[in-house]
Amino acid sequence: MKLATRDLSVSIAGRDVCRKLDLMIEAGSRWAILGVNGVGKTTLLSTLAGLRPPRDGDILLDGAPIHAMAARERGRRLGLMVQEDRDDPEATVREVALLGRLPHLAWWQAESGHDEALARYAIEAVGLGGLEQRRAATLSGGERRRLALAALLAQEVPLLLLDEPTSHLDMHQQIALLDLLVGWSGRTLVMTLHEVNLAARYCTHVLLLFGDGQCCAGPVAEMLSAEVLSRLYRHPVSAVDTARGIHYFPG
Amino acid sequence: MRPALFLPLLFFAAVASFVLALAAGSQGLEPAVAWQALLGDADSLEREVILGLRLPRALAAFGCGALLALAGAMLQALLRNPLADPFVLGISGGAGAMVLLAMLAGLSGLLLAGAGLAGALLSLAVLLALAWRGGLLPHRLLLAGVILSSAWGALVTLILALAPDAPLRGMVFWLMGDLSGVDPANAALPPLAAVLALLLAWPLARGFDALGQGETAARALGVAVGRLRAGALLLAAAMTTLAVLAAGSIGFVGLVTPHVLRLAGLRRHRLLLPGCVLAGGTLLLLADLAARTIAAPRQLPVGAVTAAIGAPLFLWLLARERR
Repeated sequence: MKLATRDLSVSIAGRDVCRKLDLMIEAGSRWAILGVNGVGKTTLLSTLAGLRPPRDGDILLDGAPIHAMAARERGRRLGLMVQEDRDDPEATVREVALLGRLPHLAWWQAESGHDEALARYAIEAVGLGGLEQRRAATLSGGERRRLALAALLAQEVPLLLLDEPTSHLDMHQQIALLDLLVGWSGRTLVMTLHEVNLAARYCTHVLLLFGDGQCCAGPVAEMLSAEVLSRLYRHPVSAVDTARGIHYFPG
Repeated sequence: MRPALFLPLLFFAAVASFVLALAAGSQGLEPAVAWQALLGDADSLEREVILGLRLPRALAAFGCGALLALAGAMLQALLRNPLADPFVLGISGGAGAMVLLAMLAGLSGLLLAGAGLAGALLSLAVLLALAWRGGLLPHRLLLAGVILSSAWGALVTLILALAPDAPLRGMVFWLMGDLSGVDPANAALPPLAAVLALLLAWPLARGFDALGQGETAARALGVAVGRLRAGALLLAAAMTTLAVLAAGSIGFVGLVTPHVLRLAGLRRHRLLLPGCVLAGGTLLLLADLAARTIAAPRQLPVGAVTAAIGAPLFLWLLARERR
């Protein structure tokens, strides 16, 4: 699954998020979108997911324009984890995970044993095993993020777009969740992140949004430096070389 | 108990309440006699009472209850608000006021229905205009619904004040929700419409489930949310109008039925929607039975019975709502 953009320009409320962006997101690569709060990371992500028309340019999913694709077809190829979990107050963990099967089921089809097994496996995989009948609204913030991930896993899509997957998670859970994401072999990941060190540790590529439509993209090793990040976050950033690679911290 | 097992149970409850409604009344009949009358071997008076009076009324009651409960379940899913209901939101108020106005103007038949639908759609349009700010704001929606209801109420009061004396009592009863005036020739229309509406709404069921996770999440799962919302709102307005035309403005069936069923475990719409048709119909059938037997030989408007049950339940739900 390859996602590409050609001359992509996205704007929101008259402000440019990116201008003339050419991206080539190869199958199996892992991308982080970085930038300050309010720069338009979420807007860009939902545009890439085909849910929002770009101002200009094309988004191609395996060579086909994403906006011309039927919604269900799109749902079988890519999945989106939204930033806020707005669970139905009544739905159970199992029911939320099963919703991931929606793009694969015609309206007259009931969920098969296979669908049920996939949902169960996904719930186990994110560490929520045994909570199937719990109401999703009663889970903690971290558990709800993991439930959203279970629904994505059950959706069985090769391309995952994730908006702040690590928000509401403590340090251990951030690592556990990203380990899990990266461990699913072959899936392509595009995620917005606040924590640049997580991006450096888990991603192969970054897309930096500087505001005012300026953006640049490339492999992590080439793109990230204290100087670039200082400009990105409009705050001095220092780098320190450790045994686990370069770490960045606010100066 | 598995949620799917509720549906056959609800079906038997519906059949039982039908038999009860046919047998009970000022002229009490044994259920067996009622059954025989249905099949055609009973004496002519009993046959006349059952086929001419009670069956049409029972059919209309069941159909209207089914339509209102189905509309309520759909509105609750679409507006992502557990307190949504055609009555609470002023949708049936709009249909009622416009029908009354059309009656006064001497219209009848399809024109009357058209006026009702226009009133229901107008209410919906005003609600969405007031409560939509890049997404539905639940508190604005309920507030707008309350205000809309009272505005339609004021218009109705005005119409009643200006209406000639002769039809006044009938109008008032109809407004409160009344099934005594059901035309036997049209009595099968509400239940048939309810079945048709269910057939139209059921393919949307998983879309309603997905909307529970928020609009963006639903769209990412491949649900065409815009089309779903437009189609289902239109369907809900049409169902409400039909129920209002047949039985006036009956409150709370649309609110309470989906809630009770969800509490019983029918959370997913593939089960909830057919459950609403069965349970909503049964509920209104039994409420109508109570309305015509509690103070017999006098008849109460069934809307008063449903309101007496529904209003405290609504308040309880509101109190339970924490967010």
